[in-house]
Amino acid sequence: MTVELTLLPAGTSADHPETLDAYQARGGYAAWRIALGRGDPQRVIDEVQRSGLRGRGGAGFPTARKWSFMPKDGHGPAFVCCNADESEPGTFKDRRLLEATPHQVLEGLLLACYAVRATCGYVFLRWEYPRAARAMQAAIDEATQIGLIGSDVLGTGYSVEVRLRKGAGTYISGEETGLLETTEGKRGWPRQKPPFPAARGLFGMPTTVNNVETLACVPVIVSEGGEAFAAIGLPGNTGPKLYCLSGCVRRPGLYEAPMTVTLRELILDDRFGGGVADGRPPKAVIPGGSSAPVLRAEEIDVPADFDHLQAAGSMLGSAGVMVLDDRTCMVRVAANACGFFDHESCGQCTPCREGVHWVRQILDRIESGRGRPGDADVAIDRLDAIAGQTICPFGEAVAWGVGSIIRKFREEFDEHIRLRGCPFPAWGFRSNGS
Amino acid sequence: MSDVRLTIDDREVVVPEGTTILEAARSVGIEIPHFCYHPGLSAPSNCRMCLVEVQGQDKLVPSCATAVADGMVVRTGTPRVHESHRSVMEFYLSNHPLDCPVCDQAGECVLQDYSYGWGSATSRFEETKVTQPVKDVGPDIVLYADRCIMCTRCVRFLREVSGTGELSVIHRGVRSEIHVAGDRPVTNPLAGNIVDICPVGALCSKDFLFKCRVWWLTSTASACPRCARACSIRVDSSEGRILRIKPRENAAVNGMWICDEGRFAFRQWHGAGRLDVPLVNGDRGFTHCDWDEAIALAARSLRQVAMRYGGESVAFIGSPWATIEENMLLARLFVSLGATMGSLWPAPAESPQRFPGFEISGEKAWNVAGARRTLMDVAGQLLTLDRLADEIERGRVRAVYALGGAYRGALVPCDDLGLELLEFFAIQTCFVTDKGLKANLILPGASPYEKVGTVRNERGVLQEVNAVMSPPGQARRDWDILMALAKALAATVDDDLTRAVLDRPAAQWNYTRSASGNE
Ligand SMILES: Cc1cc2nc3c(=O)[nH]c(=O)nc-3n(C[C@H](O)[C@H](O)[C@H](O)COP(=O)(O)O)c2cc1C
Ligand code: SF4
Ligand code: SF4
Ligand code: FES
Repeated sequence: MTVELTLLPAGTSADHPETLDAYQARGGYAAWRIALGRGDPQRVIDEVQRSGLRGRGGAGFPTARKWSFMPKDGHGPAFVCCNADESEPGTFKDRRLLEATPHQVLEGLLLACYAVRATCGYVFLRWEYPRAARAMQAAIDEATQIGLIGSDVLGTGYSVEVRLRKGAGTYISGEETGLLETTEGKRGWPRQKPPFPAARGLFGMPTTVNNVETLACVPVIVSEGGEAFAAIGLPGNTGPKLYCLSGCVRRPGLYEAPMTVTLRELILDDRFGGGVADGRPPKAVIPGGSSAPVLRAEEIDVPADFDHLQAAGSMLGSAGVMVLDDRTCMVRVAANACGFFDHESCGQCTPCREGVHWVRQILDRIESGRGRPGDADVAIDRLDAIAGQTICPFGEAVAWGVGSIIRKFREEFDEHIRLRGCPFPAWGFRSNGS
Repeated sequence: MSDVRLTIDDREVVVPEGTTILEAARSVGIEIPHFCYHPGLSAPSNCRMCLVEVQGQDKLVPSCATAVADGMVVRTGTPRVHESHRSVMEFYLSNHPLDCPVCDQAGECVLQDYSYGWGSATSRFEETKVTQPVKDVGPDIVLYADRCIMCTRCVRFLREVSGTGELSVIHRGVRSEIHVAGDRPVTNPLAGNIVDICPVGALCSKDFLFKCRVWWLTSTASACPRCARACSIRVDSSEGRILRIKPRENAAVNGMWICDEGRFAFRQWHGAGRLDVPLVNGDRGFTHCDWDEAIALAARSLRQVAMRYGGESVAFIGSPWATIEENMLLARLFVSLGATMGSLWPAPAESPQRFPGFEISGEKAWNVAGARRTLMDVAGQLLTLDRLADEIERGRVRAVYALGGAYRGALVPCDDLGLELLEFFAIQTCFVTDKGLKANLILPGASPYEKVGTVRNERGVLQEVNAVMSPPGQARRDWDILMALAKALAATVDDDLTRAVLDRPAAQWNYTRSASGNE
């Protein structure tokens, strides 16, 4: 049986998590049996290498390469963590995978475990996704019952466990080392790297962290072959991709497309967003969650893939595509994003802890008509002073995400200051002011 | 472990593998600014003050958490590094209350010091500062959370060294706050160290709070008299009063810490009840007398007993609270009188207290090892107190002269010695209880903080102790009292005694001045 190369298979829905039987009926766990049958973890890595799969969690790191960093001759425990913390604003793709096709994610996690010779897989799930937690736990239980998880799986001598861990409601636990700390039961405080997780990760043991969507791609790669996966999209940007479309668009929602799709198509095409809401012209698009630098309307004829978006000065990030129309106040957008980051900074690093709060206050002042000439320059200077100075990439996320809005829409900031107030209508993005 | 060769600011540096850049720089005297790094704790690299440039790396690296590598080229003073330090300082100062005029830490505050190097006289920060509470975190510790810079040294100390974990961080981001659970205040025996390692005025000792500006303090290097570990300490005093005690770093003795008993031990010797006049026991009980009288009485009584019953009927008892020199002078003096029997008061014994990163000795006096070894050296043997009691009961010992000096409430255990059988008993000490000593003469001696000399701790490490102040009232240093007695007994005393005693430690134990300090 050929398995469909899709992350949104027909007949699945977030309302009813796919059962083990249903999943097996569409070829589920075939890859798991194949990989175990071949008896060589390296072949899983090779197949993923051929597929060109890059991480869907934000950084787009080549998955096979990440796996190859894991020690091959390890004796003690080793782990794979499935990053299901999905907290990036505008991002809701992992949720759908967890709630609708939990077994596919689980099979991907098992294959990753096998590939890196891990003894245990952890699913780290954000606390705000109770349905996903129930679906995932049920999947783990079902698979365990029929011996797909456990000791000596299918008589191959390979043993693996899977455990579900829930976060306590913080964005930073999605950062891979923050995730490790939280999974260990500590505060979600990212770790200084090196050492990298592959050398010293969860509980000090070799660990790989992969995003939910990344793992959900792995079963078809193993069962259908890496080439089939690589045939979708362009080299370096292969496979099906989920896009989370939100903001001022007619039909917001989750869409799957090859990465050759452009941002403009995602917004305007009837298969996707179907146009900007109320027929307005777009003003800006944030292509990859609020950590990704904003693009102006004239910059959106770009394939929504890793390399093109990077060349355009932004990034695919979490593929949370946020559309902003001409009525949107970009100061409010910046203040809102900065408010989120201020709320979510873990507070370890001085530049991030103090700087984000400082800039957030400046932006709130400008938006509320209390801006002063020079404010925008101080904000940019302070954001630049955060980037490159922190333990984790959260610092860069703020600096680049918020900084790009100020840089690209500077005229709106200056106008707010000149007018001592916001010239835009009061609806839409609003600083949450907390 | 092999050595690694690297270049820091154009200087060749060779350090063992695994050393961090910050420590390697330190080893050649290049100080990289830092807040969260502390040599006695793990390195979370959260303050971001120590970033430096490493050739070939785009980003600046945290020198506290980056291990050296062969051929590494590090620069700590480039414009980029300076800008990083400046920038981090600006972040710190943006939310800092800047209440130095009323802050206890002023004058020894790392934030204040660095402000001179990388701060700015004016601020671009025009926003609202986050305010946080002042709260008690322990019986002697108050937290001014506003001033906290979130370095987490306190939290790490309590997890890694005391192992008690009373403090943690709550909330997130700029609202992060050091937290103590209401029912678990910081009461562990090592608590005071968190005040020392707090780089700013966030954690303050209530005992010291508002007592003195630190620049008026006089610091004296000494050792802690509280237990046989004899931690290296720095005694901070003003106008002859001890205001606080801090650890001095000494790898051979205490590492970087001291315990709270030691930190506050000065209270056990000073203050009310301290003996400050010589007391003579006569028909009307104890009465004051002057020093000449007291010394003359001692000399006369000792000589009489020696003449009547022979020199060996005079015995001496050394003290674990006295210095090596004092014990030696005591023993020499009495041996020269013909004494053959000497003993040593035992130190009060408690069980030792062990922590993941520190240990408090159960022997509650600093110089147990030094006193024992010195007395043995001079007298050739040392009797237990039981043996001495035996000798007294049998009438072979008729007079005893003792050094005391115990802290308040820990009087020497003389109840079972049979002192009432003696013709003469004198003791140099700091306190007399109502029970009263069955002594003929009680001479007011010095507390450990009033002495000069040498002590040897339980691990055999010799340390110099220095006087912070003079003894109160008419009390004298024990050395001086013994010298006066020696003079009064001139006929039998070796003229070279002083020099012999004073030269001996230096000459024979290779004693070098001052333990490695961290000042
Ligand atoms: C602040 C921050 C938050 C992040 N949150 C998530 C998240 O919620 N989910 C996720 O998969 N990756 C998140 N990441 C990325 C992870 O650190 C990590 O790169 C990713 O999980 C690796 O998986 P991949 O290789 O499959 O992409 C975050 C990164 C940062 C810096
Ligand atoms: S950059 Fe921000 S979020 Fe990341 S560790 Fe530092 S303070 Fe925490
Ligand atoms: S109280 Fe002091 S030691 Fe503790 S985190 Fe704050 S500044 Fe650091
Ligand atoms: S001393 Fe290196 S980051 Fe704090």
